[in-house]
Amino acid sequence: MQPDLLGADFQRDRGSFRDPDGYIVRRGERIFRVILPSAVQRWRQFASSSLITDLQSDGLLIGTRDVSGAALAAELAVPAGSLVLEHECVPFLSYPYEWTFDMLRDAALLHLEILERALEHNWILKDATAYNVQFRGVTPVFIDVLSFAPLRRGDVWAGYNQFCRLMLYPLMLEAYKQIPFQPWLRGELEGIDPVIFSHMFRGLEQWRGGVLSHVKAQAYLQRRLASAQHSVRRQIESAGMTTQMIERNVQRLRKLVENLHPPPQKTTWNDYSRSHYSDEALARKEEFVCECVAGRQFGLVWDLGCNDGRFSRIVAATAGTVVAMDSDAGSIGALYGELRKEQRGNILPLLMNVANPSPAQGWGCGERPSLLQRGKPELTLALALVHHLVISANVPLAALVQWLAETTGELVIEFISKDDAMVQRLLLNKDDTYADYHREAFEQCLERRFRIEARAELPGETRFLYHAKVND
Amino acid sequence: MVYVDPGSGSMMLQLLLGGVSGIYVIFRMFKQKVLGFFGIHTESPQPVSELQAVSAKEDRNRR
Repeated sequence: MQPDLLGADFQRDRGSFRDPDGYIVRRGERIFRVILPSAVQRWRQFASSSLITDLQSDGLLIGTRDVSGAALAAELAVPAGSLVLEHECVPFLSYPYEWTFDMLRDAALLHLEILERALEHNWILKDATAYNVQFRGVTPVFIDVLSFAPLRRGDVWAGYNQFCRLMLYPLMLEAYKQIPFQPWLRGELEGIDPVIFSHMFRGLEQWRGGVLSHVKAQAYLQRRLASAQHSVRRQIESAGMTTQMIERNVQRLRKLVENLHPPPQKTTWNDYSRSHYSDEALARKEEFVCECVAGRQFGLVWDLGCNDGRFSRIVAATAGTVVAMDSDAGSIGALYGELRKEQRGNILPLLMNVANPSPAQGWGCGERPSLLQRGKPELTLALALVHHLVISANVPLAALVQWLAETTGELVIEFISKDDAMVQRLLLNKDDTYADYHREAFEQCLERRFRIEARAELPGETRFLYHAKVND
Repeated sequence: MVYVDPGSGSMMLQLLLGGVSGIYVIFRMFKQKVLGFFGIHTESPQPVSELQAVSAKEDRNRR
């Protein structure tokens, strides 16, 4: 029996309902995991193993402590005999459909490494969803301690199919077919079905690494055994699946995933700052952003349309977490690679189109929260963004400012006027139906919802910066 | 506790990808059918305990 009534402050995570062994509860920024009586013994066994110590000390598994106590158990209304754990908090949740190719590949490799280590200790991961991985900055971490189960003789790797659907196939899709996986994963939370995916490979393409075995053969067997009237799992288990066979499969998968590479990105924004701004204008823009955050300390900051992350890096020095978002996969891919090299801990790059941010979806429209539900930023940077939203995406200027006012506490925003070359380029093949797209109208919209604290004009007289705080 | 459906096809594939030992397991699963095809009929399937002993031996050899 699982409780429906929780203390007022606690909120049951709406994405945590599949695993019958426990669930996640949040209180503000604190994350608790309830382990139900059916899994308590297993958890204790895992908690006292060297496996969990090794994984946590290497930073692969989320930090966890047992906070079970009568008061908390009563407040959480957990069934008698349950345990309550507290997890280290992940600063900002993100999902595979917002990750770049390299982020998903790193998540897949993390999963396989943990599985390999688990097998060495006679444990196994009972599922293989990409949603069990989160990013702290640019470092992936495995968050589901209840995924670990003792390996029994004859056990199959139950997560193999899920691993293919949510990690291997999306990576193959982009590496082999040059088709971005994010829209597919956003549309299908269970990932890519083997039978559907197998239709994508014909002729010589079938001979690319892993296609015949992990895609074609799996699709064939899935079709053939779809109407099986007996439990294939029990049949295999009693016939004697061995750990060695799982290990061999995992090792092969790791090699396969390591050899998948993203197609060369044709990015619109590579070196955007340098090619669109003179050194003087860029220096002034950086100076303005520095002035806005000087002497301040922010919790969560968003950088919308971050392209090369130049300004994310500036505000990162005064922020807990910066979520650097752009709809251009090339920019975010390059930023992720650079941040990995720099070992930056508090910038999370995400693929996100501001005109169509991630919605709430899944079961009850709540399993995966929308971008906006995952934490309100204290400060948002919207630099060289407004003209794209208004002129390319046709978002009305007033609606954009209103959305920002509902979303953020403070704003550093750039307005680029119509006579600027960047805006002219967007208008090349369009009729100019944007009569209200001018500086005065923008300032009026802004002043309706925000208090302008500072403003600056960049050299060239077409680009204007504002620091504004939302009206109380 | 397996709450994710491992997929019958995906499990069979794991055997095929498991090399010689995987093929051996498949053979054991379908032993009677295979032997029946050649006109050989056995009394009863191999007891599970015996299979586990074979598996354990494989594991020991590996380590």
